[in-house]
Amino acid sequence: MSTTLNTVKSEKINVPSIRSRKAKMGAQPIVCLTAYTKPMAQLLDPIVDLILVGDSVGMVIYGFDSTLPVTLDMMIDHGAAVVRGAKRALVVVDMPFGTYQLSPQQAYTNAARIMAETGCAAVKIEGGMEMADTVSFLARRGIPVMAHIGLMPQSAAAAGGYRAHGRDAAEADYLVKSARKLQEAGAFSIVLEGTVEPLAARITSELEIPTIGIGA
Amino acid sequence: MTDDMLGLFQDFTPKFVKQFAQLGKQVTQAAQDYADAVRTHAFPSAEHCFGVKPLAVTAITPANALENQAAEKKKAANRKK
Repeated sequence: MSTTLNTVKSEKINVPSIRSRKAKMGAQPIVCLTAYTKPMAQLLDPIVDLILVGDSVGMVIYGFDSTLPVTLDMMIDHGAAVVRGAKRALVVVDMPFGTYQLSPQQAYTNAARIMAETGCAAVKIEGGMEMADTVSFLARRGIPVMAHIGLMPQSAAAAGGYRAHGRDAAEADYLVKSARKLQEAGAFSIVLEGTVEPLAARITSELEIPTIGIGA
Repeated sequence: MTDDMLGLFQDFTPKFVKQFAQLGKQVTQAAQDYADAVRTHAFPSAEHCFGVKPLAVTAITPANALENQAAEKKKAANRKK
């Protein structure tokens, strides 16, 4: 394995440095992995750019069959554990189901708890253009937000299960417009999950903020 | 403790611990290989991506996706004839 890419930099990665990492501008793609514990965060920290404390913790660690039962307290406990193990990588914590969808105010209250009690750098919320007001509300008040569109596990019931998104014209249109709105609202990056590749590539090339693909 | 025995907990190793595996080292290697693959654009490749029907592969846009749908309907109608 090549070692020339082992660019382990000691300086801490921050939100603006991720926001400016557009691959089309010649930047290296963003390397992101999940962690739920301090030891895993310690192992990944020198290698990756971004550590996501995903609400997938509910399925991977707790044995739930979806991410819906995950609570704010669980995310705060795992987020704090990961932050204790991360010295340079940017730590982003997922906001779990039911803790941000009600209103921008609800989102702010719970995001502020996550930021204050974990020491993480940013939060991630699922949702397309319908969440743009919430993203804007948080971003303008100093809470960096990573958006998340395409396959959204918290909405899998409404979407008819876990399936790839953007196959038909209406869905593709919704995703393109959502990505634009979320960028306008102030998201510093967008996760594209389970999105058909030509569409994911198009969204990535259109946006000024970076996208992070998982199955896209 | 399982995490000690597997070599996953690395802050310290008590005297009574025998490491039956060094999973921490394997995690580091796997993460490094993954990071290198992402940074060199070797991963993900087409096999890890969701495609679309060949007709729409070149450049899907909301507009041409509609055209593609119309074209496929036309084809299906022709087949019936």
